[in-house]
Amino acid sequence: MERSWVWSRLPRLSISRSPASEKPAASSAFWVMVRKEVGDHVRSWRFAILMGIILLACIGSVYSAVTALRGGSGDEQGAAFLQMFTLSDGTLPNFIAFVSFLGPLMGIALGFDAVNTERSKGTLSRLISQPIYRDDFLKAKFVSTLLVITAAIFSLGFLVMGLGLIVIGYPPTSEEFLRVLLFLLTAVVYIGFWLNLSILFSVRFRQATTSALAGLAVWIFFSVFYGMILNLIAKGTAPSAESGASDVMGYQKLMLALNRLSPSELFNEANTTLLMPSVRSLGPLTMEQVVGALPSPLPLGQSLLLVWPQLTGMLSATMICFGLSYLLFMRQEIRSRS
Amino acid sequence: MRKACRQASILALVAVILWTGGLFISPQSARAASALELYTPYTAVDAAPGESVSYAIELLNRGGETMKADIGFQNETNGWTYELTAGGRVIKQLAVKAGGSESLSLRLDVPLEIDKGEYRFTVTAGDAQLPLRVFVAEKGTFTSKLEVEQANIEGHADSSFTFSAKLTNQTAEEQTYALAAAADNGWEARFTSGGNGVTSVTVDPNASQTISVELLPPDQVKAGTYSIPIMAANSATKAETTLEAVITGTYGIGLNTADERLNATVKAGGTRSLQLIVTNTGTAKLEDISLTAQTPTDWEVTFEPKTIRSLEPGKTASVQAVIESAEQSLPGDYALNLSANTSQKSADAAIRVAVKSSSLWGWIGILIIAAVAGGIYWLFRTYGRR
Repeated sequence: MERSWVWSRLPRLSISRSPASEKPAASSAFWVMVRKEVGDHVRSWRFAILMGIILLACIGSVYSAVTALRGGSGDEQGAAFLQMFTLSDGTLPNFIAFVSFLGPLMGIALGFDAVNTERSKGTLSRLISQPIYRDDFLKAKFVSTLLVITAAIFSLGFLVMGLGLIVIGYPPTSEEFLRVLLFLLTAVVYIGFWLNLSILFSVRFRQATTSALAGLAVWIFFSVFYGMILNLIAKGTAPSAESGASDVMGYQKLMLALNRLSPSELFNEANTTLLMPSVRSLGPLTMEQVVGALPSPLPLGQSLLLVWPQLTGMLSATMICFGLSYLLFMRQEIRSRS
Repeated sequence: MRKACRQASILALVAVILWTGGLFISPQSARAASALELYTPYTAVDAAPGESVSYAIELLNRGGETMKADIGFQNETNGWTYELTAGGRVIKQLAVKAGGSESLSLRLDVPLEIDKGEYRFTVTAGDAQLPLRVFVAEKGTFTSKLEVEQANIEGHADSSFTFSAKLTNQTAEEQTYALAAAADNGWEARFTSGGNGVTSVTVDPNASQTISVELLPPDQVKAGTYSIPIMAANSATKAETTLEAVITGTYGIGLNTADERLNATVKAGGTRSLQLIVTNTGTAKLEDISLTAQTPTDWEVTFEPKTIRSLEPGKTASVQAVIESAEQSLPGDYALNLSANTSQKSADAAIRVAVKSSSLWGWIGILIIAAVAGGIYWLFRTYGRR
């Protein structure tokens, strides 16, 4: 009901504009939709519950990181600030583990009914009958939800940084700060992927429950079953103990490649590298590469270059999902509810 | 009767002739017949310069009454000193009972500065005389002596040279000597005696004292033999000797980069050249300096030139090192050890090389993202705004 009230205000907006300037008005209509969608999300119970869960998880992980830091297990003295995100005293998973586990839930929960509920309620046809572009509707759905997610993730991240300042007592270096910002951006892209996937399902499936289940199924598949399947494959293809180094390397590379099909693996590798400057390689290492290597943190540019393939993969997957849902949505027929 | 008278007169004449002739021929025997006699068993002795010769002399009285005699000493040469004593005192006159004897002693000091030869003296007591002879077997001196047993010591430029010198006072008096060393510029000489640093020592006559001389060469001393005269002198006498310190050259080599930065950046699989400076920090010439590198696996370092034929002390030589990193190197820091070796010494330079991965894949990633974005843009253009 609320939503129909929102859209009922649109005609008045279109009346006020001059007929000559069609385009700016259209874009302003887009931003009006975005603003309303954001408002809807923020006020919804769904978002409140999600934020509650994630906030609790974050506080728990920060508490465990602080305990670990105070207990002196922070081994790299210089990077204490980054360890707020990666360290754990063992009682609770660390911050990035929570984000990689609960982030997909957030994306799916905010996107699974984006299109099909509007369709089933009949508000979609009413909306499209307004003088707005059809693709603006889908874009507005995506952009508004992504904005909400960005705001949520960044506020959580800055919350942890603030707590870190209090606990550690000295400010981060600019590089550490940039690393945290890049990590938060990566998290947004990662959740954006799940959001786009669930929007794709919501375009494809007429029933909201079906789309929600499809999204959850993919999430659970990647977070639970994919690892088991990989284990099976690993056991089947493991080279014998007598096999040469090249066989072992090939096997390791194959397993790594299979593992990297999972978006959560890509996200974890990106995080590990961004938040732990001492990580120098993500693949198997040969002795030749290790000889003479000094344990030292990588500069940010090199860390970024190291995980650039992962970031590329995540960003591309996100965009492809969006493109698919766009394609599907634009080719669908919108009928008024009979 | 006349015959008896003539015989008596001839006898008397012979007696007179005998008497007077006897007087004429031996006046000594007449004096020997005097009642006093001086006696000592050793009338001719050998002595060294600076020694004292003691004589125990007896004065005998063969007469029938107590006799007094003045004691005298006749000295032909200067420089000798004597002392005639009896009963612990210097004696001038001596009285001897009839038929008895008195003993007195003579001490004769041989001077230090004396030629070798025979010297005669006479002791007199009244009209009794005792000639004495002293043979000086060697020429005596009035000097001081400074002797070093081992005057030549060899060592490195950074070691100290300690000599042990013996200072002998061969004069008759106690002498205080000032000690000095005429060392070359930069050398330091320290005199010690009995563990204390000293600048002068006092030596009793005919005694000696051991002095340690420590020589410290200057920092940048060149290899070679150095003569350092040392001297113990005062206004009366002086003694000098020469110490010899032989410095063997030290070998020292240093290796650094031209700008003294020990880090470098290289792309994985790329090359980087470093300007190295080899310095001879020692005092001896270095021959055949070869440059080697201890690298991570599959890295290569080539030097230009590979060896330096010779390098004079204090001189530097520059070497170009081209570091080629392996294709498979991880991004981050690697340790690279460069060393310059000679058969005597070697120097290391540990260089931290930061490897940067190639940005090729970064650009490929950007291309992929751009392609996907292009695809979506194409979707917008094809399906949007209908």
